[in-house]
Amino acid sequence: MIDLPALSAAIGILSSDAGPWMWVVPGLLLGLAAGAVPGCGAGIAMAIVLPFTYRMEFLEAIIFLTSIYTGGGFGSAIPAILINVPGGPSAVATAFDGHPMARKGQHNEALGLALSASAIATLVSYFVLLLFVQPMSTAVLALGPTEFLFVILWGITLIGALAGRSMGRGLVAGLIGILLGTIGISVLGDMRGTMGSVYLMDGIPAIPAMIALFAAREVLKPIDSTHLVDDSALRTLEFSKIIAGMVAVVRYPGPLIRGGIIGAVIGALPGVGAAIANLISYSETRRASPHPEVFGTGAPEGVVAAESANSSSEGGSMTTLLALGIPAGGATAIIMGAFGIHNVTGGPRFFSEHKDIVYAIILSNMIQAVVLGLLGILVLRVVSMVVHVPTRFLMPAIVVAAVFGAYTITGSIVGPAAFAVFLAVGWIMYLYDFPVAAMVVGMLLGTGLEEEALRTWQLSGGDPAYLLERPVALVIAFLLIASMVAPALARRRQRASAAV
Amino acid sequence: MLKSKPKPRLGYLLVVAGFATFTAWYVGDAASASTQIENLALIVPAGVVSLAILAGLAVHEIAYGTPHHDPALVRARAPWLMVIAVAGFVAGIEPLGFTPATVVYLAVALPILGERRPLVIALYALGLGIGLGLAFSQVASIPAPFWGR
Repeated sequence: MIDLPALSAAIGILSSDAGPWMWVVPGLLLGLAAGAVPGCGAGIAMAIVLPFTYRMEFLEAIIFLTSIYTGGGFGSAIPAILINVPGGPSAVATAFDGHPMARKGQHNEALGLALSASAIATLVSYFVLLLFVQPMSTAVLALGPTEFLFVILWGITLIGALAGRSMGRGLVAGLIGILLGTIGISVLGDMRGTMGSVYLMDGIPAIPAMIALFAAREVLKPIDSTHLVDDSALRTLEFSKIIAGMVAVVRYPGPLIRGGIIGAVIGALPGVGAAIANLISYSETRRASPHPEVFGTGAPEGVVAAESANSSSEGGSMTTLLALGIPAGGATAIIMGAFGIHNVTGGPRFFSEHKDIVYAIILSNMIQAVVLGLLGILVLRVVSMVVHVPTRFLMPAIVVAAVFGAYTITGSIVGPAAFAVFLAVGWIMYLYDFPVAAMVVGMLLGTGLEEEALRTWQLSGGDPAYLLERPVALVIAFLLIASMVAPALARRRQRASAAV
Repeated sequence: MLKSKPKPRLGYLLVVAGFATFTAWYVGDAASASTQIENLALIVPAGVVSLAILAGLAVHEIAYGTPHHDPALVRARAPWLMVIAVAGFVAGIEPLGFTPATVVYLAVALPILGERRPLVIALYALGLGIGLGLAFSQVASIPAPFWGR
């Protein structure tokens, strides 16, 4: 399973040169900081530093970029927990229970839980990658567009069905999100929904829209409290509570292991990644729980499920990159860009010819996960101070940072304009109980969904019998239908018992 | 005593109608661009299912109303004043520059959120606005119109 001579050579490479290690801490800090700014995220930080990696050695460059990736994976959980605005789509589900915990004054514990779940899941996912990089790459190759189509549909359906009080409103939000995600030029070059505007040719900027939809409730809701945490006694920063939160993760082995497995598998699927992994892991943990009603009110296992999945998806997406040369998402696409800068072509050939380098990358990422756990404690002490800032000062500052982030992402006023429009949309959705998370996921995955639907159509020639030849797709389709029917039946039972 | 049935909410029905109008318009717009399967494979099914669910939501609201809602929150003016302030902030970025637009936005937003001390508003708006402008432009060297065109 492991090529021991190559592993030994990898250890030799990493122990003989301090160069690559010099970039771990700066990379993690950069990732943590970028992830903690809503709308910025590790991807943008990686894109900004990518040109600077030209002067580095190949391994140094990859370790620097993966350190940012690792730091950003946890960093995006920080605003999700403290202000209910995920730093990126990978932390959407973290906010579901992380922020209610913060509202109850358990922000230290929630951050500690998220940190240890992230560090452990990253470490374990890279260990699994080390063991199974070859067989996993073969398995991913066996999946086709039909399977990807159903995985994406499953993700959107899950969030639509589970995010709010009404499945109908959740599904509508998801479907409208899908439609919004397809605005722009089609594969045939047709303009759809652009109203003739050149600014919409590339579609609605999804990240600024996502930030606005999530920020609307927190930024606009009339303030009935002066701070994020009402009770001043609960706003204290307590190192012991952060540590207690970190240790408490061992009480939730089920969500941790389930999240780790879901994240690693989903993360390996190109175009799906952490954004879906955290939602599926959260939903499955809630479904499996004997007390699903506590989810959304500050359930620690919800935080563990979401964070373990989004962090372990890093190992999964790196599998696809290292073994197949296919970037599974934005961050791995940037790492692939660094491959190109150093005249390295990823994929099976690189894997077979440079197993020592691949193993060195994997080993260094395992060390990064350990360093993240230690560094995160120090950084959390600083970022947790946000709970001391009165909300009337904090909320406008969040808007300014988000608008700037929106400008940085699009490089024009289109991003801030999308932010302003979707801030109003998000507020209306909040007022009438339409779950914004479903719309966000629909928007993010709309284009990918359309591409997979088209490929499936082309392969099947429009014949539904084609599905019978795709057993994996059928299993996912069954799970999709079950995830719609089960919550509906549960709600009906709840209403019936309430009426008695 | 009989429990009175919750009344349907006009605002909710308007939102449902708004979503339905967008969906119908977008499907129509996409179909007018091209009726080929490559263009409509996802949009038509998603649009049709969305319209069907929206119709169901409207019928359910008219028939049963909704007991869970907060009319005071719906009527609150401050959120909409904040939306207008953010729209003004965004509109001001290119003509004024990011930094002056930030200062003006903060000076407008703080009173909406309940801050009444003019000196605090002025110091916060100027301090944060100029501080962020300098941090983003000088330290991070990110290209953006910090001082207008």
